[in-house]
Amino acid sequence: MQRRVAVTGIGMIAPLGHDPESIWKALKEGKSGIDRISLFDASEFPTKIAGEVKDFSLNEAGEEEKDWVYCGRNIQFAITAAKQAVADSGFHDNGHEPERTGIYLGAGEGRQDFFNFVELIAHAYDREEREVDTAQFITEAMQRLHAVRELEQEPGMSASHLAEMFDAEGPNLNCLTACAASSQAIGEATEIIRRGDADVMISGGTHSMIHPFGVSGFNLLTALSTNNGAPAQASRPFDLNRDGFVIGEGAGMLVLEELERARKRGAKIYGEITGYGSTADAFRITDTHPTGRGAIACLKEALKDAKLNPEQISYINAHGTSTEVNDRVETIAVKEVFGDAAYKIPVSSTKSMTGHLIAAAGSVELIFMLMAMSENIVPPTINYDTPDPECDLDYVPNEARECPLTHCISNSFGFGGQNISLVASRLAD
Amino acid sequence: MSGSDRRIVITGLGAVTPLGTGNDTVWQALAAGKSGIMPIESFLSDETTTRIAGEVRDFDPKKFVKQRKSLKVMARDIQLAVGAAHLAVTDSTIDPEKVDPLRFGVCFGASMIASDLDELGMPVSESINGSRRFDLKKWGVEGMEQLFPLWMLKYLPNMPACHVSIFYDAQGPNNSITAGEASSTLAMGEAFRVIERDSADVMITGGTDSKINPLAIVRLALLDRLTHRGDDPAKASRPFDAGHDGLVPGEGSASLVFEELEHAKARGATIYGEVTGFGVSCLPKKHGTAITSAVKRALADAGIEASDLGHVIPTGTSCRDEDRLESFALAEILGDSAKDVPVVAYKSYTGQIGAGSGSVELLASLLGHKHGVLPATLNYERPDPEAAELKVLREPVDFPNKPLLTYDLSHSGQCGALVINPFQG
Repeated sequence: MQRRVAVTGIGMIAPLGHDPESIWKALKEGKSGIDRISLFDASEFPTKIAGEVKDFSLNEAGEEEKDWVYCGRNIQFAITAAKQAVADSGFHDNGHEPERTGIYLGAGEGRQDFFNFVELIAHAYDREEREVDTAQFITEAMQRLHAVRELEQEPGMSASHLAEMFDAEGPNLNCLTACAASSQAIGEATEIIRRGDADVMISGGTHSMIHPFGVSGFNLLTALSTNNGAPAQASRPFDLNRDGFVIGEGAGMLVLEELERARKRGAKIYGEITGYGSTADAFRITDTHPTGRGAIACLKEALKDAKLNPEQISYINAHGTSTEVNDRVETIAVKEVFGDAAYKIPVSSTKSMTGHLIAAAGSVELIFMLMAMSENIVPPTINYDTPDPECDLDYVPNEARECPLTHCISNSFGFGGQNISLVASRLAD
Repeated sequence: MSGSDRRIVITGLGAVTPLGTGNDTVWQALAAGKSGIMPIESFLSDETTTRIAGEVRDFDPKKFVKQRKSLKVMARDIQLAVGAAHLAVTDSTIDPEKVDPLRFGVCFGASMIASDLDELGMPVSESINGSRRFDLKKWGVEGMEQLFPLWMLKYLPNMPACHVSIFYDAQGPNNSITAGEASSTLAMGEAFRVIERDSADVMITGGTDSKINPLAIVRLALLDRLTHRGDDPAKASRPFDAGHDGLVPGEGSASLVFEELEHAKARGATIYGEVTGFGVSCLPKKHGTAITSAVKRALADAGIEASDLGHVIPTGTSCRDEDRLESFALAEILGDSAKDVPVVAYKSYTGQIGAGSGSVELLASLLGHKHGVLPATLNYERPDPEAAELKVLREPVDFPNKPLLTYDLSHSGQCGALVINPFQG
């Protein structure tokens, strides 16, 4: 019989708070975590708003700030969320086996040493020749850049730090598939436990792209909302007047554990990961396929893996970015896969409140779904004022709703065409 | 442990490496014992870092990507990968149109991709204020908009796998592994698992990286990992030799087509080998144990002992401390067979290709299998007396028709290991 995978610990840091409970409370109240950008001077950027993690310090996680000074916010968030998840799970104090414990993250890269980097380029740039004097760049870079700060930008570093911190010697991977990354990591970590290559996996994602290059890059793609005058209303998935997504930051970490092991030690179980689907649009690096073919195949794959019929799904946590293309195509896909049931299943986008955490988005959204299941409360899509005629599903407008939840599905779609769906199920007694 | 009876074979190889582009070119260099390391051509370096590298010199991306628009959104790493994947698919003789698109996936290893400095030059220099400092307000008003709209997409590490999926309409599982120098070995392992668990029948896998740009060279130099042997490029990369003093930066990509055995047989494919074992471990502060643990997992997965191995492809960076530590781990794994099992360190030919290295090195040995010859390690003249004793090959030998082990250790302690069985039919 296939080994089953339970979630026994959760940890999270996001724009609405520094731990799962406070973030979940804010979500139920329909609060927005979006505000003016304070991490750098964005006053002349097209987009001046984001979902930032406020008043953050590693001290909260019991770490000395000075020990992590060369690490970006991505790594610092990962540590904070993972420590919460591991403590919550209790697996570490309960027969921890380093060789049977692994890490699979969908972690983003760290931010570039921005001012040093751009000034190095400017100093070495020959405006007449329109090229950088590379020898000069290198000579000055050797003086100004710091070895460890550069190394810590590699996206695999979070997984490496967590392995050391939690004594996890087993499988250790990082996938960076844009906005699908942490969902993909959780799906693959589930497969690792199912196969028997590990019994416990710490999995999730972390990312912060709220830095000058990150915001510039998305602004150039015209993907970001420029609703700078009303930050809390800027992220409005499925609403007719949306104008792009709002960038967020943070981390979500889960402890995945083989079900029998979790039961044997009497662990609290948030739910079971029952389905994983992974497909590619194979269309364009900039756009999703207009028919939603990748998303449709992905949802079907996840349902098949979970051995569920579409009608058995009681909640869909949408990718719901608040861009016209995503929201419309995702709606098409849900309708195609769920048929008539699509109109009866609540679909909400928590990005309306947190913004889009990019690589980390899927991990926090899966945690929201597990918390929703444990309380039978569906979080709302806020800022839903004017329905888009092309989007005619029940998006749980503006207020959380009580309803019994048994099986839920979460979507994550990445720039470039990767699609991931994860099914989480309430564990039958 | 999987309980799966699906077998996964390798049916296509594509190479864009410092030894050349295309399998025949690469094999000619390997067979002749010719190094791909030379003075850097693509930009001017300075003597405080290095002026030599394993550079890809014969690759024309326009041959592989017809649309200029597409080429413009691909950084060097991505272009190399697209070229390698094209060559691998061609070599496999698979007709992509005859593969069920949803059973056709891509999994590539990549690294953080360095920005093109010339492209940033003008927008950045326009944003410098009177006191030579970068001014974010100026950048917001006039700098940023000088970049082209898709600028960011040119550098995302998932783009090698995305472009490849688009070229071949591969709509199945699509993943990108970013774990430093272990990336491509881990990506190949993940591709193996995807087919094994019946989520796909064909996967285009491999890895890509270019360390030959000013920023990547500076990063290696800051960690003091570069060789100081600049005056004799071909002799500079010397894994396990007493004269090793640092790595040579390299670039390249190799792509491999992994296919379920029956699928391959049904279309009469040529088979290079069977993937039989995969293992991963991570110990950031005990790299030797990371290697032994990953390798033990891969051997157990393949159901073989170390004494069954025909040869080993080590990490072999040519950095003194790294080589020494690795030699003891490998000697421990091999035990009594350490004196018999040949070790071939391909970084002696190519330099350190980072996230591309594992795929390039496996490809090299599979070409050896095809030609019946296991290449030698270059520059292994005098064993490092402080390293454990290994049978590092000095001269080519007949290819041992026994399973091969390849593993790659990242600088941060992740290790992925694969066991490949030259196909016996």
